Amino acid sequence: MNNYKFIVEVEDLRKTYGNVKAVDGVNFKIKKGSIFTLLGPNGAGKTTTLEIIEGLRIPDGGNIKIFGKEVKRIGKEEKELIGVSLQETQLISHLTVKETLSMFRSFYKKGLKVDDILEFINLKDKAKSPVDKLSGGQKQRLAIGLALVNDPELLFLDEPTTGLDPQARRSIWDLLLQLKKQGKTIVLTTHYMEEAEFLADWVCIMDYGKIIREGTPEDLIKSIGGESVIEVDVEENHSFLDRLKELGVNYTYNPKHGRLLAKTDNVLETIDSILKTARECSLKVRNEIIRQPNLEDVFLTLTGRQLREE
Amino acid sequence: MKVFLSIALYRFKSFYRDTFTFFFTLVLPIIFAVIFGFIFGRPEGMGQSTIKVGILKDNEDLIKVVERIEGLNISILSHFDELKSLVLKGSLDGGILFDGKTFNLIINFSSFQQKPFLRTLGDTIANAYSLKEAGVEEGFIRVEEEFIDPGKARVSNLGYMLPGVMSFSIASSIFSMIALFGYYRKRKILKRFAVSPINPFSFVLGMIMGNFLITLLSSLFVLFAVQIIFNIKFYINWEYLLLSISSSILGMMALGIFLTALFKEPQTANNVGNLLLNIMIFFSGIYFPLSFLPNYLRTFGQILPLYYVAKALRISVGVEEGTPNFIFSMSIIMVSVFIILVSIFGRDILQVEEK
Repeated sequence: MNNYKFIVEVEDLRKTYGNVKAVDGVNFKIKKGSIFTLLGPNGAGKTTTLEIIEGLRIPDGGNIKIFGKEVKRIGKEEKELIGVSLQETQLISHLTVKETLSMFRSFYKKGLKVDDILEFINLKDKAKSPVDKLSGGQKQRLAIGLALVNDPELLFLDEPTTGLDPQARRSIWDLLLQLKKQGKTIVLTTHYMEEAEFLADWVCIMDYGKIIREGTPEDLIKSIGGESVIEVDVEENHSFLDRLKELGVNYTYNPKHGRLLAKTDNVLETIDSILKTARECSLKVRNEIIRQPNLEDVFLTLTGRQLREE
Repeated sequence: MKVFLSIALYRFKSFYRDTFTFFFTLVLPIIFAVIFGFIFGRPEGMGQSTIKVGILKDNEDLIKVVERIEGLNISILSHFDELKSLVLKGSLDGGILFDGKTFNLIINFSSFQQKPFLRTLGDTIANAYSLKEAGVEEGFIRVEEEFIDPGKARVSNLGYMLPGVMSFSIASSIFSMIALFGYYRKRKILKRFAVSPINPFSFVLGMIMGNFLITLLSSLFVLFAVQIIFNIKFYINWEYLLLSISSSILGMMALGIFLTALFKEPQTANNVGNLLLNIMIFFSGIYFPLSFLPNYLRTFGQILPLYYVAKALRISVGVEEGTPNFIFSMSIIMVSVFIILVSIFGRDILQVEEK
């Protein structure tokens, strides 16, 4: 059973709700021991895709191969081997952290000791706290702890850091990197490009139920070209934007946020063009940033929208 | 089995730690019992709300029976006209006549307003007399194997009503099922269980067992508490009592499951459950006797499940006559409905997608 390179293989996966194609012919393969990330805005179909592979939803079409075995839908046998942290983990109130872990541990044939899990997720001092009294970050660590009770080979984590402050997010990232070191395969969904960039070995960018591009974060970023990105706030002005185009500036403009992004291999020349043109059009330029391109830029290039626009 | 026991244990723990549920299941029935107990009959030692009744002296058998009823001050009179006149003047609250087949109750309507117990006097005498007819004197003994001890307890309105208080605890099972099948789904608690490899029936039955145990214990606690508060001793047939409580809990759970299936929004199911519970309590003779109500409402009360729950409990604690057949029949119906509904709705409880 362990003689496979890809722990999950998905082919032409489809799921429709009424007229909405939530998952529209998705294909991907997940390498054993890697962190695989589905990146996309809200409503892109990441959670539905994940929930099909977790056994929560039944696909309308497509093939799933998991642990080297082709399955129509995920059953009890597969559930014994996977760990899941849902987008929103709601638990029975009035139970303590330790009791909740113990209860879920009892559902599996094999697994880790509850005390070891508490230590790993750094909640040993909260073992006797009721689950409803935990902070957002602690709840999320408990959700990851619940995904680990059966010591799974494959972990599904659906937006594990959404809504958390930077410190709590960082502590979750550390946990995930430790799990990767232990040889676990992690499937992650996120709409935070910096999370995908930091953690992922492989990224699939999803939009409207389809995978629009995949690759390593580095390759995806390289694919859009340009060594640097210049960002400035400037009010919408057609003659200004037309003039930039004439000068050969490769830019995208977001009128909602009044933000201009320009990709360039020559930072000085491009910033000079922007500032000069703005002055000619009597426009003020503010909040200038020069940075490396990232996955947000990849998404913007591919869709014309920002990841967190909606 | 391990999963079933684990879920039952943790459900039990979460249940008794929930202050609201604890209040609703244990404290509220006792508060209601105290309030209604004081309205409809005061406990011994706290002063009896005495009702003055007249009986004709040639009704010797009836006098012996009525003497057994608490809270009655009996005047024995020689003539019907004298009795009627005293009732009309208000010197007596009522008069009891018995011609060997039928009771006639003459009631002074001003007393009728002031003394609620008078409204149920007819039923109380009928209950007491039927015991007498069965050959029962003060110390009642079982006369035939298939009959339940109906009357070791002294016949009083309060004693008749208090077992019904347990029905309040039992009826809380409706809401535990709305929580399980409705709120747990809406709050996505079930989703976390659905990604684990547990069998849906182990999950449902474990949850039900946790709820069942706590409701059973709560009902027994309420029964003991009201006995202590009102200084009443029930003569309990434990087999029948446990059977009645257990089947009633399952029956009320079935009603909760039914409401959740009927109303997709758990809040609606909860509201309808509350309304239904109030109607059932009002019309099932739990906190006040059905004799208060006109005939058509009494008939309505008799189609409500809580009427049978309260009756079975009264039979089990020996304050109402009844046969084991009544308890067995009620139990079979309640348990059957429960099994059918759990089989239908339990199977899909961990399905995130609706069929």
